[in-house]
Parts: sequence; structure tokens; C-alpha cells
Amino acid sequence: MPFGSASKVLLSLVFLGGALLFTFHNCGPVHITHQSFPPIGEEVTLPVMGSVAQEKGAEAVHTLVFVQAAGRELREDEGYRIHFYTQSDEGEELLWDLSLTELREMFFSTSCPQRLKKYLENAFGGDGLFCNSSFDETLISRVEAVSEVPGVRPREATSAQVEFVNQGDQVVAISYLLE
Amino acid sequence: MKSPKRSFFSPSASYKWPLLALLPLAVLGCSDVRFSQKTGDPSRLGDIPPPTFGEPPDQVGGPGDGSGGGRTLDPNDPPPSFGPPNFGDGIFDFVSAVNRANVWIASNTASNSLTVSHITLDEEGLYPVKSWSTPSAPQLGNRTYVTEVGLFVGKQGGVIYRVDPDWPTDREVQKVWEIPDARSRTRTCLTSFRNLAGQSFLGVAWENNSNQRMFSRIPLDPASPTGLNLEAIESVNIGGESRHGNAYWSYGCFTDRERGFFWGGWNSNTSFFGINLNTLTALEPSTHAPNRGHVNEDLASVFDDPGLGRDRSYALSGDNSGNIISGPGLYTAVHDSRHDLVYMTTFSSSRLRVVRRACFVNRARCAEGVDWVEVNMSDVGRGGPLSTLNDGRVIMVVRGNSSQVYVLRPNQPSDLSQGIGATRIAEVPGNAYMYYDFTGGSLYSRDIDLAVDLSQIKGFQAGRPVTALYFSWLAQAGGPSAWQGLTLEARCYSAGQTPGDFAAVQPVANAGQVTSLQVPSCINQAVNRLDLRLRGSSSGTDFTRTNQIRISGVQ
Repeated sequence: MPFGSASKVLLSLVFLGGALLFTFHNCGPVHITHQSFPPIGEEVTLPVMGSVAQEKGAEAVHTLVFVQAAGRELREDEGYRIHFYTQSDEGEELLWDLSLTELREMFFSTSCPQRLKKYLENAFGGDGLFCNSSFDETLISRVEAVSEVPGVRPREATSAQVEFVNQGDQVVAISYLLE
Repeated sequence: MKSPKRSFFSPSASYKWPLLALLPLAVLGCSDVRFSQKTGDPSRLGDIPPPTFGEPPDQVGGPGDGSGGGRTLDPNDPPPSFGPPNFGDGIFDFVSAVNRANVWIASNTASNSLTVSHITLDEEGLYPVKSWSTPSAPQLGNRTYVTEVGLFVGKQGGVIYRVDPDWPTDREVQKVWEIPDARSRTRTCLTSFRNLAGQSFLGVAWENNSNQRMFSRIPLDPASPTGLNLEAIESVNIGGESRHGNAYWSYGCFTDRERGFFWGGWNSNTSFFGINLNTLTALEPSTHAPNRGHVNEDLASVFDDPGLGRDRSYALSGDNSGNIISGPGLYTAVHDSRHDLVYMTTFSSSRLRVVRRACFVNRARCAEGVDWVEVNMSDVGRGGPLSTLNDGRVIMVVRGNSSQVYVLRPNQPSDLSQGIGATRIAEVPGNAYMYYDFTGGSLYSRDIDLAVDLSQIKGFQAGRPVTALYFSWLAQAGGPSAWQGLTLEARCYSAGQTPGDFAAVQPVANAGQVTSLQVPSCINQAVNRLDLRLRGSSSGTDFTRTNQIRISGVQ
């Protein structure tokens, strides 16, 4: 099986850019500290400014996602569903609700280049694979694993570790570490 | 001795259309016969006295373009008005858009309190505001849509409210439908559409307690106290399967009127799903927006191929032709059809992106500064919800404890580097929760049936044949001056006779210019009644926003 079991290998192998550890407590929406406004009825010109589009070139394009509980992989028989939340302007919203199986099947269903898939499958594995910028970790405010099995407690991610896997192919790995 | 031909003009064509518009004329079919009689062509009038209006068409109207901001009138703009509707001058309201130039804002003013504000973009720049409220509504998730029967607001949990703009302000916002079996966290995304038979509906996307995606359509009914025929609700379940890790919808939605498709997704970076509004069946995953597969090399980092079926904007959006526009960092987008520009608010606090629409449809390269720009918003606040007036202007809301409402338009449409003009028109209480149509600009056109009693027009002589019949029209302030997306038909008859068929009037001259009504039943006929029938030529939103019409003739 290409997934999960290789995650420890991945985490020991990845090196580029070093590890970036962040926690979720600062992931809320940015509040407007602004603002004085123009007088009503008075037209102002919004001037043209430089583009930020080029700045995005350095961002990751493909993302491997790992969800781990206390240093071990989650098992599918534990019945976990992984909830990814985002902080919208209407409060916290559930962004994705994926069973562990669904998360792992994304390895096959996403639109990654075949060459990259094979490379990652052979070398690293992973719980989930999001290609072509379909995963934006800056949107994720909270991750929680909720089990459908009675008696199995939910586990919330307390941190996420971001590492570059392959800078040339713009791949990063994000490991969500559950409590 | 032959008597001179006379022109009749002004006075009192009976001003019936507001009443008659509620009583649609019988559809009798239309003739495609073209009438080419000399006297029907104003360029070949020869010795015939030209139709005399109060003032020539190219001098009507007052100063300014009626949109505020003191901008010089665009030479391509039609004059803003013939003057107030005036029977004596033969001036009639002839408004093809459901919502003229008004803005609706739905905001949460306190816990569980919903306030709806209605702002009029008046020519004086006073921007009068009328507001209504209710103290007890679900706290989150306003989704708005402007219809023929007022504004509808869908709230979290499947609760729908309505406000009629003619209501007194002491009337409470009306709860019209609470969806049974809607799950508590569902959003209630609204649209309005016409089916193939021309019947108008409110469309509602929601989710039920079994995590199924649901869609309901309710016929609009102006005669009903709720504006809806709640006895005729149709609800369908389009499934609950997941796609790209997402099974939800109704957080955001977008309507493709040309194809009758409704798309709905869930917040940023999720998949979206579609339903056919005519058949009420789910769209297959293989069905996509028309700009599927389009890539723009220069905007690749901010625009996603809609064929991926993924919505990375906060509020799903698209253009007037059904193309979906989505990308990373995008809050929402809106299309102004007059200048064919797409305005995009982003999660950046300081940037608004304005892009020529073709960049998202068929152009592979688009140069920054020429085809698209990003403008600095620091003077006005972080832009959020957008809605178009489709007349060259877009409404943008800056949310906060109180919300700011702006009118945006390009300083020079042909040169985006000149920046974007922003005029703040109102501050409304509370945090504006809206993402979709709050101007009526994305709605189809309104049917107009205008009946004119020619015998009431000053100078008209009963019993004399009408040798020429003319009309001129004006567009809404700032609106396009070319006639598009509308069909006009006319017929004449005498009181007491059974009216004949309508005949198409085409071509229709630009705003402010004279069009001859070359309709066989009118020309060289001793008639005293004129019926005009205006219809949208498609279900799309790209149509001329007419404002007034003036009729004259020669006998």
C-alpha cells in the first residue's frame, strides 16, 4: 500500500526549506483596523498598483497531506473522518469532510501529473494528495478527526508541519498532528 | 384640394401601461412582414413635415448622467431623460429592467436581527435609503436575490424572507418560507429564473438533514401576500455524493441563464455541483461551464479552469454568458456587460482586480495594465460582496460593524490604467451578509405591454390615416445606447376592433434617435390605438436597460 506507511519515511526524508511549524491559534480572519471613508457622494480614484500574481510563482503547487495521532498513523478501522475547517467571514466553516479512505483515494482521483504521482507513490506515499494548488493551507483554520465508531474520541490537530518535498516540482508535505 | 399632412404629438396618449402591464396582452403571434413605404422612413420624408416633439431627440434631457460623482457625460451615453413621465408630452416610462438603479443591502444589525436597506441611485446624488428590519432571524448566511416581487433573503437553516420596495418602513421584513427538513447549518442560496414556458420562479438551493443537496423552485406570484405561490413548490434531491472531498452546496451559487444551469458549491476551495433549472435534474460531472479548459497564461495563478469542478473563490461567480470565474485568493467576482469587465474582490485587504472578460473565456494572453489591473483599495476599505447594474457600474460593499456601499466604474473603460472611480453612496447599519445579486442587474428583462390611445395625442385627427409613426427611447443613466437583447413588436387598430397580429419592429435605432414603426397595421391605416410589446430575446441578462419612450406620428 503506497499510503500512510511511508509517512514516517517521508518525514525523515524531506529536507528542503527546513521544517516550518505553526499552530492554529492565529489562523482567524484578519480584522479590518481601517478606516476612514470618503465622503458620501464624492468620487475617488482607486489607483492601479503592481500585480501580486508573479509573487505566487514560488508557492507550492502540489500538496501531500498527512494526519497523524500521537506519532502514529490513523487506522481506517477506527472510523475517523477528517474535518478541515476554514475561518470564513461568517465564522468557522467545515471545508472538507473526508473519511480516511476518501482522503487516501484522492491520491488517485486528483489531477496530478502522472509522472509526479508515480514519483510520490514510490518514494513517499501520504494520506492525501492535492494537486494543482487544490490545497491551500492558509485557508485551514482547524483540523479535527471525528470517529464514527462509538467510544472513539475526536482528536483535534494542535499543529501542522510544513516541509518541502521537491522544490522543482513545487511539492510540499503538510502533517497535521492530532492531540 | 388636398389637405396638408399633419403631425400629431405630445398631449395625452393615455398613460395606461402600469395597469396594462399587469394584464398581459394576448399573444397573437407576430408577423415578419417588413413595411417599406416611403412615408415610413424618416430619411425619405421629402416634403412631409418631420415629426415635431417638444424638443428634438438629440437635445432632450438635462445635464449630467444621473449617476452621481460629477463625471462628464460619456458622449456615447444617451441623454438621461425626456423629462418626467408626462402624458401631455407623450412620454412614457418604459423600463426593461426589473430593478432600475437600486441597491439592496441585507445586514445583521444585532444578534438575530436582520435589516434590509434599499438605496436609490438618484440623479441628484442624494441616494435616499429606505429600510426594514426583523428582530428575530437566523444569525448567519444571508443570500440575496432581486426579483419582480422584491428582494428575497435566504438565511441559514433554510429560512427565506422578502421585502417589497413599496412597503412602508414600519413594516417588518416578511418571513415567507421556512423549509421543512433543512439542516440547521445549511445556507440558503437563492436565484430567480424563467423556465422555457416563460414562468418566473424563485430558486432555492439548500441541504436537508440527510446531507442531501436539495433544490426548490417556487413560482413568483405578484398577487400573493408572500409574492410566491407556496402551494406549488417543487423540491428535488440531487444527491449527496462527494466530489473532490466535498458533498455540500448552497454556500455559494451562480446561475447560467443561457443554458438554464444553476451551480452551487461550499465556501472556498471545494467542488461545486449543478442542476438543470428546466428539468430539475442534477447535471452530470461531465457537464461544465462553457469556458471549461480555458487557460490564460498571464492570469494562471489567479484563475482556475472551471472544468476542474473546483471553486476556489469564497462566493461562486461567473459572467453573463454562463462562464464560471474562480481562482485562489478570490472573494467573489461580478461581470459588467456594458464594458465587458469582471470586477474581483480578493482576500487581500488592499486589492481589487479588474479584468477584461475575454481573459477568462477565449484569450490566452492578457497584459497587465492593459487587459487587467489591480487597484489600491486602501482609501475605501476591503471590498467584499459585488453586484452589477450592467450599465457600466458595479456595486461593492465593504463590510464591518457598519457597511459601506460604493459605486465603481472605470475612469476610462478603454484604458484601465486610469484607475477605477469609487463613489461611496451609503453607510448602512450592521454587517452586510450578501454575496449575490443585490441590484437586480443579473435578472432577465421585464415584459412590457404598453397601450397608447393615439386619439388622445394633441394634433391627432380622428379618421385620418396615419402615414408615419415614430418612437424614440432612452436608456437608464449610464446604460448602453444600442438596442440589444430585446424584441419590440407593435400593432395598430381602431377602438372597438379586434386587434390584429403584432409585427416586429426592427431595426431599432440607438437611444435618443428616431425609429419608424413600419408596421402594416399602423401605416396608411385610419387607426387610433397602438400596442407595443417588449420582450427579452433570450433568457440572458445582457439586454438594453430602457428607461423611457416617446411616440409621435404624421397623418
